[in-house]
This record gives sequence, C-alpha cells and structure tokens, in this order.
Amino acid sequence: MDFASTTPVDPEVLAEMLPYFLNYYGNPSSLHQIGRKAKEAVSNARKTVSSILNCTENEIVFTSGGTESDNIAILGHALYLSKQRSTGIFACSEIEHHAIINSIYATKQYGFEPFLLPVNRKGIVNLKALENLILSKKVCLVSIMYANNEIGTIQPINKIAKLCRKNSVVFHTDACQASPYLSLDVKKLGIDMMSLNGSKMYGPKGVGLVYIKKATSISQVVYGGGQEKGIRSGTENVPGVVGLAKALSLAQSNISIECEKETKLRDKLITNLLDIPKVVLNGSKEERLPNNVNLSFLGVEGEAMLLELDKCGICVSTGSACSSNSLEPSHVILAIHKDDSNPHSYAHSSIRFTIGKYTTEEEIEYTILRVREILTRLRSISSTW
Amino acid sequence: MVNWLYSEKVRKHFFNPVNVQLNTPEPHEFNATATIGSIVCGDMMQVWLRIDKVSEIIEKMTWKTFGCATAIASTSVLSEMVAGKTLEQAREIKAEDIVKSLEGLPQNKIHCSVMGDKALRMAINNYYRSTCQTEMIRQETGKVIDTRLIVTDEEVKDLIRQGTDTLQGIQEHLKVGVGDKALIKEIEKILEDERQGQKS
Repeated sequence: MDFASTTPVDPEVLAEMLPYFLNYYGNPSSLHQIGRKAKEAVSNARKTVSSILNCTENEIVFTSGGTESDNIAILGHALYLSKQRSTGIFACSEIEHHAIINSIYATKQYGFEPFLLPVNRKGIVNLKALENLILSKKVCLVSIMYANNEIGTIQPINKIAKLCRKNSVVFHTDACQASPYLSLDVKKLGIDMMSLNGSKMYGPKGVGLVYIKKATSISQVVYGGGQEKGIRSGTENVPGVVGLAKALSLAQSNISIECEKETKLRDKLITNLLDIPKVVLNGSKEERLPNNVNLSFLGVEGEAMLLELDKCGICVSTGSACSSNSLEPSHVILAIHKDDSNPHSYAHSSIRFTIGKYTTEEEIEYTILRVREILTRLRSISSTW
Repeated sequence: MVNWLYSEKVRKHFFNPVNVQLNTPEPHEFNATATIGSIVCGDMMQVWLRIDKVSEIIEKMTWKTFGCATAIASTSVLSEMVAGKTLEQAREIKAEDIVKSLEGLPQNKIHCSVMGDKALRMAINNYYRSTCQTEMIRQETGKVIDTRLIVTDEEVKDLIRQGTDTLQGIQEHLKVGVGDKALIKEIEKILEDERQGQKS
C-alpha cells in the first residue's frame, strides 16, 4: 500500500535489463563491439521513450532519477539566464516535492526570486494567482507537478501550459507520480520540460529522464565527458536506461486497464474508511490519481498508526512530523488545510495508502478491517479524542 | 531494526501500554491532573495521580497520550516508574531516566519522553495547590518560554553551553517553538546572547 514511495521492478523489465549487466556491459563511448552494443541499447531506449512522449530523440536526457531531472531543469535554466544577466521569478506551487521547492529556492544563488503559488483545499493550483503573477512581474520559469505525490491531486497542466506559453514563460512539470496513469504526450500537454523517474512505474531505481523541448535554454550543471549532449555527463546507466524505457512503455500501454482497476479499489478503500467518524479525505475526490488514498484519522498520530499497520504487514506513509527528518509535518497537508482552525491536527494524523498493479481486493478488505481495529485502540488511549 | 524500529521495551509499552485512563475519571478517583503538549507539535498528554494524603505517596498514575509510538511508550513506562514513590522522589525523575528505562531512544525522539516527566511535575504542583501547600510548589528552573511544552530559557541555554549552537539543533532536542514564529525569534535571541557571552 505504498506504491507511490516506490514500486517493485516488473519481471518483464528485469528480463530486458539483465543482458546489459552480464553480456553487453560495455561503455557506450567505446568503439568496440560490446561498446557499440551498449550504445545501440541506449539509442533504442531513447527511440522508445521519445515516441511515447511524442518528441524527438534529441529532446530526451537520461539522468539518475526524478530529483536530478528536476535539478537540471530548474538550476540549468537559472544558470543559463544568469549568464545572460537576466533576473526575475522562479515559481512553483506550495505543494511541490522538495526536489522542486529546494531547487526553486536554490536559484537565489543566481540572483532569482523564488515564489510559491497557493493551492485551494483540494490541492489545485490557483490559476488566477498564477496569471496575476505572470502579468504583474517578470516570471522566468514555472514548475507545477502533474500529480501530487502525497495527495494524488492532478493539476490542470494544459491550462497552466497555455498561460505560460502565451506569456513566454518556461513551464516545467514533475510527472514522476503521473507516469503509470496519465498521458505523457508533451505536445498535447504543451510543456517545455518534464521529469520522469523509473522507480515509480515498476522500473529500476537510480534512473530517470528529463524532457527538454528544443530551444529551451539549459546550461550544464554536471561536468564531465559530455554524454547526453553535455547536459548530463557520466557513463550511461545502460541497464537502467533499458529498464526505464521498457517500464515506461509497459505502464503507458496499460493505462486504461490499470486506471479502471485501481480506481475501483481506491474508491472502495475511501468509501469504507470515510464511514468512520472524524476521518477526512485529503485532496480532491475527482481530480485524483487512481492509486492514491490520503486520509487524516483525527485523534491519532500518524507514526503510531503506521507502526501498528506495519505490524499487520501493511506498509503506508504518514505526513506526521514524527516520521520525517524535520520537526514540521507535511507541507502539503498543512497547505490544503490552511483555512481550517487547526491545520496541524490534519497533518500529524495523515496516512497515505497507495495502491499498485499488484494490489488485490482482499488486501483492500484486510486493510479496512485492520484500520478500524487500530483506530479504535489508539483513539481509546489518545488525550485528544 | 528490520522487525521493529525501536527497543524491545518501547515495543512492549506501545503495543501493550499499562495504566491507560480509558474512561473519564470520577472526581474522587484522583487528586491531581495535568496536561502538556499540543496538537501543533504532534504530542499531547494528560496524566492523573492518585496520591495518599497521609503518606503523600503516589498510589497510581494513569494517562492518555496523543502521539507517536515513543510518546505512548514513554508515558506508559513512566506510570510504572512512579507507582509507590513519594512526591519528592517522583519530582526527581528526569527525561534521561525515562529514556534509560525504555532501553534508549533515537536522539530526535527524546522530546517525547521529556514531556512525561514535566507533566508529572505539573500534576504534583497542582496537587500541592489544591491541598493549600503552596510553599511546596516548585517551578521549573528559569523562565518558561514555551507554555505548551513548558520549556524554559535555562534548558535552551544549557543545551547551547553543551555545544548545540543552531536553532535546528535546539529544536531537535526540545521541539521548542515549532510552528510559533514569535517564539523562534526569542530562541534566536537567546542563541545570539549566548554566542556573544562565549566570545567575551
């Protein structure tokens, strides 16, 4: 129940990767046979990916994952603009992943001004606020995630892209969570840059990509042998890239089946757990990824709930501060409840269940049963219940 | 660590806590209570004490806690530790004693058990207040700067003198001022004053 944290590698993906560990282990920069074989594999992977994304092969840069893709897109663009002695705003939503928020804040070192766009209580970006910002100030780049990792809210990417394009603002989207469920056609979406990650779609960890539309200016932030058009130097992760391409093509070809199946399971879990008093759904009910259930179980702290579920063999995540590295609970849950009287009570008691393609109906029923039992026990000893 | 995150003792007291106050107690059942913490910082607990009025020995401590596994376990273990102690002995229980009886806690979890001993001391003060023994009331040393967690400026200064010299470090130990901007300013001022003091 924690597929949004990471997914297992699909056996079909692993089978494609194995020869590139064992037999064709060459360096794609080598001129001999095993080197050429490796180069061919990377080139084929690039073809597969670019046809799914509906872009050219030159527009794909393989990276070490979603975080590096986000850093390259945002800081690469900031560095380019700073060399042109340009200034202005780098904006993202207040519920972005830390790979985005921290990269946006890091553009300060190049003289840019970070800006966080507000979201409503469903977790959807306020388009009016975005428009006002773009019209009143010089905005260089906007980064809004396709779908949120904690609450699964899907953003109106088309509208945001249109607004940005009309005003010549570069638009980047982090699509790591969206990739198994939503279309990644960059032309239809109208975006300039997009990050993807292997390990959220039954591919390997440690590999990702960033789509950079032709004529989008990026300065290199990783120096070395000039691989990936100089944007991301370093010997290519050949088995990883092969696995990423296979995982992406499997995930994208199964979208309709998986969406239908997982939406049914998701709604069963949501409906049954919302029947319990003082349980609140976080995020939009409609504009939501098919695999995401995020609930606040008021009166109970998230880590306690997580460890109880873990004992029953159910893996979940929590937005509580107790399980994070910082002392503040989830910035996403705090943001969507900012107009409520006590946003922290929702954040500390939030639990994320994320369904995957291997989740069964029996598992959903087992989870509902266990959550009810655990909630009764923890609420009976809670001083806020 | 693979099977369980914390010590065996924490596991025992989290899954099978003792002395939980399941119902709202009748007024005659206990003669002192206190609540500490807040929902903002994610930990909140209430303790009840039944004290023998002649010997002033704690017969029973019950509790309720909203918080993570270690917060629940630390209040539970404390309720075992205080039974049979005099009020003066109970007052001497420190956060470190609770951590020790739990067979250790990760550094970032210590704040949870820091609260149990404070709640106990507050309840003892409340007992003395209700029995008109105001001369027995003992305040925490220093000025209380965080009224939810009862953290004093002296605790912050002690920590700085022991080498914790950043706001983040102080918060990791004491959780003080989380979500409270005015208080964070006050802590930063204490930090700055201590730094100046150390230089001169």
